[in-house]
Amino acid sequence: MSVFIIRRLMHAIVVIFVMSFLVFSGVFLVGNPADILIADDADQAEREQVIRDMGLDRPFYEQYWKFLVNAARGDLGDSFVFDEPALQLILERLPATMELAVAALLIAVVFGIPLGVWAGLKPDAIPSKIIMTGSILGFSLPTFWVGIMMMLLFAVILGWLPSTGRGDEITYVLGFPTSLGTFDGWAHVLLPATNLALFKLSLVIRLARAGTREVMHQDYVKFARAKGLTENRVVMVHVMKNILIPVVTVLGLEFGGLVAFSVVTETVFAWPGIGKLLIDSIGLLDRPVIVAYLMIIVFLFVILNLLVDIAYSVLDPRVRLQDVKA
Amino acid sequence: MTALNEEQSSLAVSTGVGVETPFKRFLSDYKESSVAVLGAIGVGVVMFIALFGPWLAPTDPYDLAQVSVLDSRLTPGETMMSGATAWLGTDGAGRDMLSAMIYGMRISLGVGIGSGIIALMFGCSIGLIAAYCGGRVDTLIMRVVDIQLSFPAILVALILLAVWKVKPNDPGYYAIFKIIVALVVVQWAYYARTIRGSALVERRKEYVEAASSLALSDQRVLFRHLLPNCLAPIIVVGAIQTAHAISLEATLSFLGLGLPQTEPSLGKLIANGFEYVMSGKYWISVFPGIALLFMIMSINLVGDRLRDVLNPRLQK
Repeated sequence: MSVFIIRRLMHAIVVIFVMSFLVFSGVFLVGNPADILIADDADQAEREQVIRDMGLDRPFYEQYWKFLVNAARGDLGDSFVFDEPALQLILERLPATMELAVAALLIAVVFGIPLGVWAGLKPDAIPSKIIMTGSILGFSLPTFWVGIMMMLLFAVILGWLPSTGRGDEITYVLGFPTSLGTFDGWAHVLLPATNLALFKLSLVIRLARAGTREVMHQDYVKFARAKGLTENRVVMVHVMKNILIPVVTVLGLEFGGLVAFSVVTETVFAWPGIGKLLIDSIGLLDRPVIVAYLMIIVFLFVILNLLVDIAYSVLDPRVRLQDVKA
Repeated sequence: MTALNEEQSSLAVSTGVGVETPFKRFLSDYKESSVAVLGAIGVGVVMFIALFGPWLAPTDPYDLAQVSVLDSRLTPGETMMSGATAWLGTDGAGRDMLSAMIYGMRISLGVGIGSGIIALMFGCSIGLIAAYCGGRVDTLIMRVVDIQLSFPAILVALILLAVWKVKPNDPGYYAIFKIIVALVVVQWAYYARTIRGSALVERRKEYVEAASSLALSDQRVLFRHLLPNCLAPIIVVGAIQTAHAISLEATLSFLGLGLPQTEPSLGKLIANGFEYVMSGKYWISVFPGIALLFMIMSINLVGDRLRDVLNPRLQK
């Protein structure tokens, strides 16, 4: 077991290094940040001074080394625009994104599993067909357009829900700021979270349906029926437990996807999270924030993948045995 | 062989019984699903509009002589200054939405298919090499593929375009080039993994051994023997990926990282309409969205059906 974890950990560290190199060299190759930062009317001497101060006259490997050393200390550079440490800017906005992603995940699970199980139990019924067609739509619809349509319908035409922002009443739960403590906060999160959840909802429906159809023919389900258990108990206990394994694994992996995709939803609904910060920073050419965001999200992904791998190997010994052999 | 086929078909014509060729079998399998036929018709319509767009569009939305600011934000059905009717309204700059959408569809589809074909060629070459060489080359290539596929497509595209941003003053072809490169980088790994999987199975078959023992060059065995036998899954992935690429391009354009104002794809048109959503001017973002949805749905339906038809495990 520990061999497996050490292997995976080393793998993760290599990925982070490679990505840091790619992102940094990409930024390095693409252009000189000095061109953006230095005022047009600066003379040659002033230009050189700024370039020297920023360390931009050093060769690439020296700059990259400095970036790595600083990053190891938790310093990913200062934002050009806000004049604050980039890491701090991102950490300030991270709770909002997490709140959105968690809400979306909840919606996907709470609606997806029952709908999928229903469609799996009665594959030929008309409601099941509607559910499955809906899930194809959920895969095909571009998230941002659905977001705009939801905004148009519920906020502009019907006027039921607020269209932008996160609400003003922020409460602290376990030290994390959240707006979900109030009704207003829920009203704000409902549209963006549903929008973000649509894709995952379709995925959960499909997984739950496939799982149900497979499990229904297993011997233990037949046995449970033969024991005279009620249909409810068979479905809720025997079937449900067994379809949850793939659903939970996939959702663990997909949580990172939710955070990445929140860039789109946050832009549509002006949700003050890290995704919106990224898009704003790209617009303003705020390089340190862009690099910091990319590094943090890569880090997040690597950690998530690592956790899922480890959880998987705990649940399924075949996985780790295979890996040790390879 | 050809002579034999001709003889057979002439025989078939005379007796009135169709000869079953692989293509005919494929076609009749495909036709069993009426939804998939609708999807195929949809793809045909989209292709037709994309190919003949400039002749179909009522106006040229990017010809400044034909566009008047006085026409801006007309509701659907109103008459423009030129006397033409704007069936789907006009956008903020006074361009006819219907025409803008037809031109946008061309760009969206072009970028989607273009990036798909390049990614297919690139990914297939790499995947075939991995399967054929095996050993360290295979391990290295598949490691890279695995790492890339562990990140969602949109994130990879975001990383790339955040660093290699399309600038507003980039010429149109250069912006399109950047987007296509980003989409190729996002997609190639899917093709590489798919073709490696099927090539590993095919490689062990006798015909490959036969070709190798005839001392044919590696290149010839790879591309003339192995590749044609691995095509079925690639076609399926190709259809699904093209739909995905179109959707991704629209998303990137909406985020302002995609195509510039001068080369507006459907995504850019929706982004333009987004400004007016709050004031209830729905048509500027609704109609391009429906066109986009129509495109993606049609391609997805065809792709889904192809997966069922071409899947050897499901074949009767």
